[in-house]
Amino acid sequence: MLTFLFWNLNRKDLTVSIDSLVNIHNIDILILAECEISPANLLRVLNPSDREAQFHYLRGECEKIQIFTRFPDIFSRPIFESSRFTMRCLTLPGFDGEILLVAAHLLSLTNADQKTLDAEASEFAREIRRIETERGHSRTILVGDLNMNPFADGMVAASGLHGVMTKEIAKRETRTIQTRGYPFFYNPMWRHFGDRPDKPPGSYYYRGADHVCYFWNIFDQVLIRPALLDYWDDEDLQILVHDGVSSLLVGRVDAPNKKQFSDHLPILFCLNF
Amino acid sequence: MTNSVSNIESLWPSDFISSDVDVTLPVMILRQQATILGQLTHNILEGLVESSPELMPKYQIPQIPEKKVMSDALRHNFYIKAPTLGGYRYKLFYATHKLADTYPVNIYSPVFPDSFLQVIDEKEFCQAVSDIFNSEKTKKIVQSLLIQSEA
Repeated sequence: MLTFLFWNLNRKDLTVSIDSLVNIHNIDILILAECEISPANLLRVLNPSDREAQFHYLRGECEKIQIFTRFPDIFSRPIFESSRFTMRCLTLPGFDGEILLVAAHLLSLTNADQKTLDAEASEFAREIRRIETERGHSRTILVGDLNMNPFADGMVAASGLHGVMTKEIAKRETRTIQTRGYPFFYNPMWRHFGDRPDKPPGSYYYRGADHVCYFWNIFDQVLIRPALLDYWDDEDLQILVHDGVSSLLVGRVDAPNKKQFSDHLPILFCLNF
Repeated sequence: MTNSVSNIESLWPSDFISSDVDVTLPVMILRQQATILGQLTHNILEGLVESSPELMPKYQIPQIPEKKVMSDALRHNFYIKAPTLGGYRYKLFYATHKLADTYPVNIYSPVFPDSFLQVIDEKEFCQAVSDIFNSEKTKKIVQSLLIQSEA
């Protein structure tokens, strides 16, 4: 089993919470966005002197994403990177073939309008498809703060990330539009909206003054190509609300406690092999 | 006549794959030391051992200078890697030995007079590696890489 944790830290020093989450959930791949903790400092905490030093920092060109893994970097080679995303080829013992791990922190509405976000999502999706063609497989998992909800055009459009809400549809693998085939991603985040017992209604809370306001959003997402669905279990995916010591929520609506922690909640998921 | 490979008798000896060989290969000692460096520095610095066939020196093959020709030796490069410094690698030393013989091992490091030392057994090999690790030059390099990694 390969266990992932993704968290946008909102530039906070959440070293203690990260360490706690990594140990509680036995994380193998830790992916951080808006991380201003120095990698060396985080390594000191993740690899205390009284335990085997298991975590490695994966160097990369993508300044928006930091990755730490429980395996050395020879098992995770960067394939293609930009300032906003990194694509890495995971070749792990126990898994036949390679996995393409894509981690991203995409442009936000703070810096651009929705049309630009959608257009950028299309460009991003095109790069993923290009690398998949080059590598000769689509065992791809995409994770990150995509700064869009699962229902945004950039997430849903065929020329965008083409994320669909059911595995059955994703298993059709591609959809053809005007003779061009576009591969599906399965987006399991859809089922994490709204009131559910003991679970948060989203991963990011924002109450704006605009007429349209969702309050809860899910910008922090993981998407899986159908080729990896045999290793995926929806029940493993969680939006976490507790770091093992403290609640990450606060207030009447139980929004992320951005004063003490981050304005985003971490997401946890696994690949089972 | 059959072309099935399975019908061809093995010509190899039956006793050349032995599991009870009591020897710690130099490369195993180096890999262990590489892991220990990571442990000591919380993986802020990592040791890395890369092994490859030793190439013949060009002066020994003047008739084909453009070709890389493998010798009958193995070469183990020992690096100190700083992942948070963009993966910077510093080659601390390298060791070579004949493929068929674990010892003697030739170690190449500026720490030694003439930058070279030949050791004849595991004990001497460990001592030589320890001398390299404990040299002022190595300490300076490790400290410098650590400080810059944490900057």
